[in-house]
Amino acid sequence: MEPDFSRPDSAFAVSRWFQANLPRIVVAPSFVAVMVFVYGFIVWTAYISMTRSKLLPRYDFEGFFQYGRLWSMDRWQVALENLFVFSGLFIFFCMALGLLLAILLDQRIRVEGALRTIYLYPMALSFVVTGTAWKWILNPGLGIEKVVQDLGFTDFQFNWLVDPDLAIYTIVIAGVWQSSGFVMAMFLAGLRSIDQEILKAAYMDGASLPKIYLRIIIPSMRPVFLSAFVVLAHLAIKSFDLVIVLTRGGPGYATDMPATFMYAMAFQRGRIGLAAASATIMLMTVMAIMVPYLYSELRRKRDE
Amino acid sequence: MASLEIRALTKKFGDVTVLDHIGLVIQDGEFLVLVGPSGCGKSTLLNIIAGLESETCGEILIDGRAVNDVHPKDRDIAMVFQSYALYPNMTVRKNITFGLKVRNTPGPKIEEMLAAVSDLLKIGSLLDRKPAQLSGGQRQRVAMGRALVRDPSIFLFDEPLSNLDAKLRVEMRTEIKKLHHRLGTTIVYVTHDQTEAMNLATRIAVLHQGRIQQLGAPQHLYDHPDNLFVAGFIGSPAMNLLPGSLSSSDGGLYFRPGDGEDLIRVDHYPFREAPADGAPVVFGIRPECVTLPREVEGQARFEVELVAEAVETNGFDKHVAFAYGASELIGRLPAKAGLVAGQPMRVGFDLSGISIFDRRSERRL
Ligand SMILES: Nc1ncnc2c1ncn2[C@@H]1O[C@H](COP(=O)(O)OP(=O)(O)OP(=O)(O)O)[C@@H](O)[C@H]1O
Ligand SMILES: [Mg+2]
Repeated sequence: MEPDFSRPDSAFAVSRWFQANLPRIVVAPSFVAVMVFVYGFIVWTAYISMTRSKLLPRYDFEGFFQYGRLWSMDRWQVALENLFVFSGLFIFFCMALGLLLAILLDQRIRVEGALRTIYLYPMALSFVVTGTAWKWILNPGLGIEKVVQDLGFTDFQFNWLVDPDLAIYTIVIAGVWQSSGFVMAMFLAGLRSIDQEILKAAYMDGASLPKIYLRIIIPSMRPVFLSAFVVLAHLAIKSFDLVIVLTRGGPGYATDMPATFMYAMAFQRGRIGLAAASATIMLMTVMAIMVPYLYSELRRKRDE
Repeated sequence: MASLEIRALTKKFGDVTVLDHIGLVIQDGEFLVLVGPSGCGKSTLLNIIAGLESETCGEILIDGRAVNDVHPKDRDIAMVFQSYALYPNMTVRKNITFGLKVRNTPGPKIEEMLAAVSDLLKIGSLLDRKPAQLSGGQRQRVAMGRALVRDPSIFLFDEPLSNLDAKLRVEMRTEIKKLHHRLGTTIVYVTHDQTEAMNLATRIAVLHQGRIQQLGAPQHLYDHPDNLFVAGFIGSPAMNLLPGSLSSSDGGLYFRPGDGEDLIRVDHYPFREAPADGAPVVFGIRPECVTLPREVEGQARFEVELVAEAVETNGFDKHVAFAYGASELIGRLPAKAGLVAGQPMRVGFDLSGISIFDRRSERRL
């Protein structure tokens, strides 16, 4: 029977309300969960960072006392310095290597499919596996150093893993190994999306291949660069598992990163307030990268 | 300006022969249109001329000089692509001058050439925009500007108008034609649109199955198609093609449609070689030669009563589909002609411009 719209009875009104609001009702539980467990705890953490919480949280407001302490700690300075060294090198080498591999693969070589899989494969591993594998490879008693020495070069030394000044670079090596294949895939997709006729036109205009890449292809891949940068930057700031597995932040705290610092303070040293302060600073760093990115993405969507 | 010669050019992709011993001589200043159905190898041929693709065998000569081993940039050829292929990251100005900069042309000279080209194509106000901010027609102009500014001796166009809407296509067609008159540069132009080919070309080459089916002036191709493929391809609506046979009786030569009783007198037809009696042929007549009896002038005529099955009007004339035996016959009647679908009516054939083909070899007799 056709519903009578001129005299809506209450059952019909309820069912219509359900129909109109069904999407909201379905999404509501996860929305509530996200609000509480993500944003709620972000607020909680931010608040805790302004208290004198030690092993257990305390709720009397103390202002920026923990932040002052944090910035005066040598270990935090080292962690920040490591973060800059690591993320700078990690992002740069991932991008450079990824772009180079993508350009080489883009020359339509025959074994492309196989090579692409090989390069992409590390991405399928967790950082824990990568870290463990590289820990063995770089271990002076087990890995490269021993192999080369066994080959007869007894003077050969490669002990970065245990050198406080150089250990951070082993994390860079492992991180680049893991992530550059993924960056390559992004760049390759970008290269492939460029109209072949554009390349032909440039070729007829008299541009050499390097010039075509430098002046036309790479500049028109700016969005891909930006996406790759954002993905890599947040990987770098979050980097935790790789450090834990590879060096445990050591030797000493030479390879500590903000994430491992926070973990150590919160769960090993019983200084929750300090840990919360470092977590808040990490959040702000991530936001400093993500917010402009999202803003520009959204603006571009609106322009289109 | 330059002449272009293609000698016995063959191109294979694996086992597939896309171009099969193509031979073509293009005079200095000519506007040659390569036309053919999709996938017949037009773009491939153009790319080989440009040097963007390598030939399997054969020779390309520009002004009598073999250029097979000459780099595309040194062939003095400019090309306009179907997708326009503008550099997306550069402004219109940079798009146009990129080729000059790469060739180390001095700055003042670049400015001068840019000004000349943007004047000619009326794109002066667009110079600081990016390609994404241009309409289809504007992109088309910029793409032509990029080719023009190099002042090449040969232009190649690969379906430059196929991405434009119908009205703009006609407009740009006229502009390209004017441009050719003005510059007099040799042009090789690819399209699959036979109307475009007819309108632009000084000569048309019809490409099909890897071979040039016919090469000649547009009117010649229209009036004297060399084979059935060209007859069906050139002209819109297409030429009517009726299978049947030749028979001579009463001292005259007649065409008898396959299943009919009619005898259409074809004595006047200039056969290239004397046909055998009863030879299986295909009789070709253009739609404009199938019309009202009073519209037909001259001696070579034939009248028959046919039923109009469908009528299409375009304002200027009427395209009428008649049933003729087992075949369909398209006629073009004056717009004023009063006719009713389903009614029989008298129809006249103007036989002065017919074509007759051998049914087996598909060649013109
Ligand atoms: N790189 C290639 N490898 C294999 N076959 C190809 C390649 N390029 C083109 N072909 C084939 O060659 C034939 C001619 O292609 P081409 O692009 O020259 O056609 P076209 O006449 O330009 O068609 P269209 O009007 O659709 O542009 C097609 O059948 C196509 O499948
Ligand atoms: Mg093509």
